[in-house]
Amino acid sequence: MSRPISDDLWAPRPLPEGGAFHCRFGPLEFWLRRVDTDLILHLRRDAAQEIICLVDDALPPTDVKAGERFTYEGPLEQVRAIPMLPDRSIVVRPENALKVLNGQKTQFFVSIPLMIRVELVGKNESDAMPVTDLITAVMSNTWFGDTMGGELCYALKTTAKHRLDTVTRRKWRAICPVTVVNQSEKSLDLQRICVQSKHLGCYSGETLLWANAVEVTHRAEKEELQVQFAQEAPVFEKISRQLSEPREPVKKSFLRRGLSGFRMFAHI
Amino acid sequence: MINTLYPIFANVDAEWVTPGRVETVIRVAFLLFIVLPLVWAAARTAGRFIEKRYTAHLSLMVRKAITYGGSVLILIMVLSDLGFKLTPLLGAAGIMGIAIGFAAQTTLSNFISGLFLITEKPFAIGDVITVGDTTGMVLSIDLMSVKVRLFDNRFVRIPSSQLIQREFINNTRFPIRRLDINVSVAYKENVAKVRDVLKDVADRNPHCLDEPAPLIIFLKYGDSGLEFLFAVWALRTDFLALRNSIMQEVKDAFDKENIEIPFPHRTLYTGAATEPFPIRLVSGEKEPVPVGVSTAPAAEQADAGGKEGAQEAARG
Repeated sequence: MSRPISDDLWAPRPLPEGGAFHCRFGPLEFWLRRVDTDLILHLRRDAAQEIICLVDDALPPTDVKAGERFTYEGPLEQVRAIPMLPDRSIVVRPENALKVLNGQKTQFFVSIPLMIRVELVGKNESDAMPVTDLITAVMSNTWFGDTMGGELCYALKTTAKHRLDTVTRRKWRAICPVTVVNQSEKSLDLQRICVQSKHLGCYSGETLLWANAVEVTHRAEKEELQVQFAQEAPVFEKISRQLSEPREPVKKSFLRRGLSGFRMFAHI
Repeated sequence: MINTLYPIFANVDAEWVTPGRVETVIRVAFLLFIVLPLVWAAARTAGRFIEKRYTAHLSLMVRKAITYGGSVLILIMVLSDLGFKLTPLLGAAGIMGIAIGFAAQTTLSNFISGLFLITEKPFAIGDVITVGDTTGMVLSIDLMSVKVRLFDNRFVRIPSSQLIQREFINNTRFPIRRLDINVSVAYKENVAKVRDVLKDVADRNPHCLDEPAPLIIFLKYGDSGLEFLFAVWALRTDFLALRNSIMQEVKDAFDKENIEIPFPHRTLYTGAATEPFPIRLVSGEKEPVPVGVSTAPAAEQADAGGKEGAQEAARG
């Protein structure tokens, strides 16, 4: 059993002049230094797996070059990291290509690398100013849809698992439960799944981070899929609190159009 | 109101200034200085509105239609107010139209082609098109011509009729593009290994899309080596970056794996598969040396000659 994730990890920390906000989330490690009126980001990606978040005056190693710079003149004096689901949809394959028989349903657990939003906050935490979004694990680009229209997505190298205990458990990834219901008269060939992660929030569980559950219903071959993004936290673990909201909340009008928002198709 | 404006015309010839004329002047001034700018402003506003909701192309068309249509209408009203009789003018315009039509067939052809281009919409403003040897970004689509900016910042006007008559390519119509690379390797190389190396190159390149999956097709036994088509997909915005990076990466990967990229070879054949090609030394006492078997002595001789030459040069 993994150790619980401390909620303290996501707490705001004062960032004094000359100080550096140092975080490590799996392969991603970064320092945000405050120098005069600038915030300077140092970034590297190595194989470290632990997660830390602290403020100190230690400089980043000399081999980690300064990257982006942000102007900053206050008045927000604190800095924090927030885990968010990626800004693009995620395409994942089931561990085995399978057909969902008519009238049946199946559940998958998708482990999605998180994006870390670095933001400045005031004494009142609602005064927040996002600085940058950093993906924890670099994923390759993929295209979902035909070559004349479709969507640019991130491709997951790991597969969607049927059993929760076989899911890749990392503290810098969120688990998204996906249920596929086939209400059509024919079996549904399931080869790739596209999860629109911009509609998912992030929750802190006892040992893992979670995303809202998604249920997709297939009614007929030519009909679009009906998608439901759960509004509440997933139920597979005790949830302590919601860490971030979805980037784009699902609107009523979206639901109608969003039937194609979560799609599956037989790969050609 | 007209009476109040009489003092303005105080210095004008008194016989010319009549209430009717003053009214005409006011109406003409109103049309030219109030209504005409309003029409232009309306065209701009409508253009902005349509650009936000629809396309830049449609916006441009509506803007021009309102501007030109409104301006012509106001011109006709002004001419009518000034006492010009428009019936003979329009009649003359009709006759002139036929005469001009015969005289300007090319122009007419461009005009009609422009109408087809506008309705068919094979490209839009901002698309990158290739017409013959010309590749550039579409700046405007007018009735007579399409204006294109080349990538070296030159301006090209392509008559609409040319675009209707000949084939052209819209490079940016679809969101993703495929880059086809012809790769050739020596006959001695292992085909499966070449495939693996190319697949690995595609996997590692950040601009290359996972799906649609890269294609590696063994095309043919070429003159100098085995020929493959290596086709990878990228976002159209990443296309140039992909082309620049992946070509170098293929070369680097082949160098690392000791896969030979062949260049055209010519094998001299003496008529027997195993017999070496005999050569005879013009001077010297050695026996004929078969090519490819005893090249080392020749190389040594060349080296020795080179060293002697260098020594001579140093002495000199």
